[in-house]
Amino acid sequence: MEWIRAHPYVSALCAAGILVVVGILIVDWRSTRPVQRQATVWGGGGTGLLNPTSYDPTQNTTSQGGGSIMEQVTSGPPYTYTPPVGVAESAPSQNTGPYDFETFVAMLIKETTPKKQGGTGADSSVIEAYSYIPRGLISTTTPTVSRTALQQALYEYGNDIGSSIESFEQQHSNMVQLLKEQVEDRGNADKAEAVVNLGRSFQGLGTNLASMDSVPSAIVSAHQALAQSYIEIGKKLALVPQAERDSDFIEAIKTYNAAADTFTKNYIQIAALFGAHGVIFASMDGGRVFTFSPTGF
Amino acid sequence: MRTVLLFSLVLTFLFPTFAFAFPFGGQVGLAVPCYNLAIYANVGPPRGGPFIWTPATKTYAFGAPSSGRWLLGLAGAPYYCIVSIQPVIVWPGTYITMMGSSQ
Repeated sequence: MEWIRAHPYVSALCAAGILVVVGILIVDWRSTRPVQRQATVWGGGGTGLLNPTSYDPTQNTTSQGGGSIMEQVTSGPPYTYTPPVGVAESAPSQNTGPYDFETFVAMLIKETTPKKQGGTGADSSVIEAYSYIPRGLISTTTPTVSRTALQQALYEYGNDIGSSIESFEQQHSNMVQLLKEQVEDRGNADKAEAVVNLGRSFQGLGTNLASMDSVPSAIVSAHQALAQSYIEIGKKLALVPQAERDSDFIEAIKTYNAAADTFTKNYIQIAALFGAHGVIFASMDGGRVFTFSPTGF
Repeated sequence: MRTVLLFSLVLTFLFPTFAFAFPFGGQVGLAVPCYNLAIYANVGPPRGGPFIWTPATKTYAFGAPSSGRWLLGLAGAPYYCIVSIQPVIVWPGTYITMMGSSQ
């Protein structure tokens, strides 16, 4: 007793150790599952931690006492497990050899079909465990879009003209900044020259579009109007920095704005024609400059 | 040289690029009516900048831009917003070709 009074911390540590050992014994005694001496991965009954590829779903339901882990989970009172309605039908498996990963992937990406009542094979528990994966959203191949001859011609035209417009974007990525600098410093010849050059670039783009050969007949008039609009806004924009008096400057801006209005109407007309003919551009197509979506940023 | 490169990188990431036909979207911080019947909208991230709505803009639900609304659309050519003619105050922006907005 003198020793315990002299070393109170040691005695407290001993008491705590005894409690831990008693707790381990109680948990071990209440556990229905036999203690597994081998390290396993999470959720994989009998799967070796150092060799995960050794997992064999056929052993999962038969080899262990007390059923598989899925049966334990679904039969236990604290859990209310509702099997998913749309589960892919299990493919017939005849091989008992190494796990067939290709078959497993094929089952996962298979379209949803009504579950076959009662007819569950050895792989059904595996499929149920992975049933949270949405069916039909996983595709290993690119879907082919069928287009009519006119749609295909419009699609190719949209990509051609869209690529030209995108190329123009990359060369003139600071158009608004150029205009802003010129407006704030109207006496600066360099800034005025930058705006004039931008106007010339617009005219060049319009000229290039007007000389395009592969324009479908259904869109020729709209295409020519758009090309002419580029030329017009280029001409009108080049006149803005040349105006010296305030009234002339405002008038030049109004004239340019009117040309930009016409250009926008022609641009919308082209986009509407694509929509009317059912031509859809993907996010990777050059024709995406005629559409917008939240994923297009 | 290193300072110039660093400054260029900072400018590149701070200011959005202004392109000719591109999707844009974000919340309108400042919306100013223009003398020439347009609306100047300063749009925030994710893809913002100075944009100008006009009556020629193809406008889907829920109408023209106003402060606090979220916009999503396609922008095009540069445009001038005439804020005042005496004194001359002009704000350039990008023409909104088509757009929709939040309520």
